[in-house]
Amino acid sequence: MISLIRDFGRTTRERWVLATLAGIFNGIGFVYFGPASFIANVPLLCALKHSRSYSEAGLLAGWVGFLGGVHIYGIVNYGWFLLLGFSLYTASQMVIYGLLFRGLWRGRGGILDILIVAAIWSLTEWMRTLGPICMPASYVGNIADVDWLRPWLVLSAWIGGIGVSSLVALVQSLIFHGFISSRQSRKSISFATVFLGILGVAGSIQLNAESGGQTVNVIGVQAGLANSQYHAATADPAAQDGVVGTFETLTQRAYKDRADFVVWPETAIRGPVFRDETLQERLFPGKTDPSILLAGLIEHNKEGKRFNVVASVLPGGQVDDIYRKVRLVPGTESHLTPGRSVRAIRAGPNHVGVMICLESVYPDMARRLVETGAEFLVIASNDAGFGFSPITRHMTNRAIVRAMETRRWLIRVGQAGISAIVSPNGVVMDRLGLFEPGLLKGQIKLSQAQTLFVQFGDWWMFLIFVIVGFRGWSVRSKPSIQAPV
Amino acid sequence: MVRASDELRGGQIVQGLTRTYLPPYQHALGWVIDPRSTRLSDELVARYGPELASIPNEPWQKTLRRIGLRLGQFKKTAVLKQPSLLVHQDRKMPDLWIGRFGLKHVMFRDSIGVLTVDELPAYSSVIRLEGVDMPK
Repeated sequence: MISLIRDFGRTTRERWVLATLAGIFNGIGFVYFGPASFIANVPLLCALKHSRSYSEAGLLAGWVGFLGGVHIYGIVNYGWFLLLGFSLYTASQMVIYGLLFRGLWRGRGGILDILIVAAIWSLTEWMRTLGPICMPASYVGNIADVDWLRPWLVLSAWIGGIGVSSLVALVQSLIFHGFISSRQSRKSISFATVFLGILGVAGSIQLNAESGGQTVNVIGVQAGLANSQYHAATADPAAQDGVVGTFETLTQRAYKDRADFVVWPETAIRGPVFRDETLQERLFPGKTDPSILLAGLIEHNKEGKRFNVVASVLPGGQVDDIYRKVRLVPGTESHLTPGRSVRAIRAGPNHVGVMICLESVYPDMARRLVETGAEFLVIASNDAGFGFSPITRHMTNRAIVRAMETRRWLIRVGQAGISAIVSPNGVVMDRLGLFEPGLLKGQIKLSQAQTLFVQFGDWWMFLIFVIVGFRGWSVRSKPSIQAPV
Repeated sequence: MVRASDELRGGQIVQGLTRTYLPPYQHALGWVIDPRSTRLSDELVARYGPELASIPNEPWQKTLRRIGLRLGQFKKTAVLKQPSLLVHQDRKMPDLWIGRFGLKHVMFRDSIGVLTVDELPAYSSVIRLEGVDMPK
């Protein structure tokens, strides 16, 4: 059996079958079963091992990236060109993966051969965190809600989410090397497996560490509406009143429940709330209410610019501070002006780190918010346009990663869902599903501690660059080594 | 397991806090942006007399009197400036003209819901609903 697998991929047809299989596995890992990520690229690695040229390696890996990109089909609701564009975007990164594998993997079964596979995956995932748009496809995101992996997931506080993705890719590498060259790589595989085991023990210890101080009550308000209700509200005042009425009813209930913080989703009310006293009276906390409202709204400034904001509103209706979304979604939010700074906002005596929608997929966002004093994190989002497709689940998983990286309690509130309260260990304490109106209630703890990841950011990527650089240097200085066949 | 094709077939039916929302669809007149099977008399009560109870099968003329709206009758050439009922010769139920959204008209049609239309269907007369503010 092993030899069959080892030899499969000698023909061009077999290599394309393997690449297709890898694309499907990646999709399954994203959509239905996160742990499939541990084997997702193994067929591709088998195909790349037999690839005849750089161009073939690039095409095979690109095909995997393209198929992997198709799994984010929920964005088709925003246009087919976006789905195609995203798939080509992931394909382009996988082309680099294929080329680097072809150039840097030697097939000797040494520890560097094993590490380089994980390193080049980490590079491709890291590239997805750069630039104006970052798509939420990552291995750590696939497995963030898998409980039995929590000892490794909490290592995010040290090595970042991307470090955990590296570990997933390391497992892929171990399986691949176990198949193809078990004798040569036995020692290296054993060493790497023990290393993963030690990391798991360290993570288990981290899991039991106490975290957080003062306890506060938070309530997320999920209206559960589809975007079409908001579109109707722009044309029909009765529909607008329906949206406002839904938020008014739920928010007043939250005030009555004496929440310390009431959290709205992104752009919950799109009318001119900052200028309309009637709306403020209906929605903002009154003088006798004990709650601070973190309200997702649209702000119009005097120059006519519009911002996607979350405002902290004190009891009595006074706006204490405003976070303006810095990273807007290209195209979709082109009518809005980006905010200038990423910082925690004041909310009464506390500081809150707010991320709006897409911002939550950038690891540096939560890090910066905690650096500037955030005692807990809020993600205000609107994923209604993705329908019931898996994107919202994956976005929620990215929220789990942000909580673990920073070891902050986090409340994510989606306009249509998914809303969730997440502990610093990545445990979802409670949640509201898609298109369910209701209140998400829970207790969270405030914290001012800073994790290794918060203090040093992507230091893990420095190690990755060292591994890739060293292997690249050794390959160049020893040209006699044959290209892998 | 929900299939991708099902997920992408269109909008969601949403059970909201107070009512069920159906996905919008294209109608012969225009886009039905808020589909619902509400009767005209119930819609008039919901919009202009929310403190009143709906009465099943109540004729819309009676509903208007119960709400207490003053009515003004106009010829079909009248410029629509405030919510009005558009009476058709070939239809029993008039349409409720709600206002404008950009260049489009926003109207409610009995048992269909709220539509945005480029051109209003031909009507024979207009009943202006006096005392109803034009939406801002």
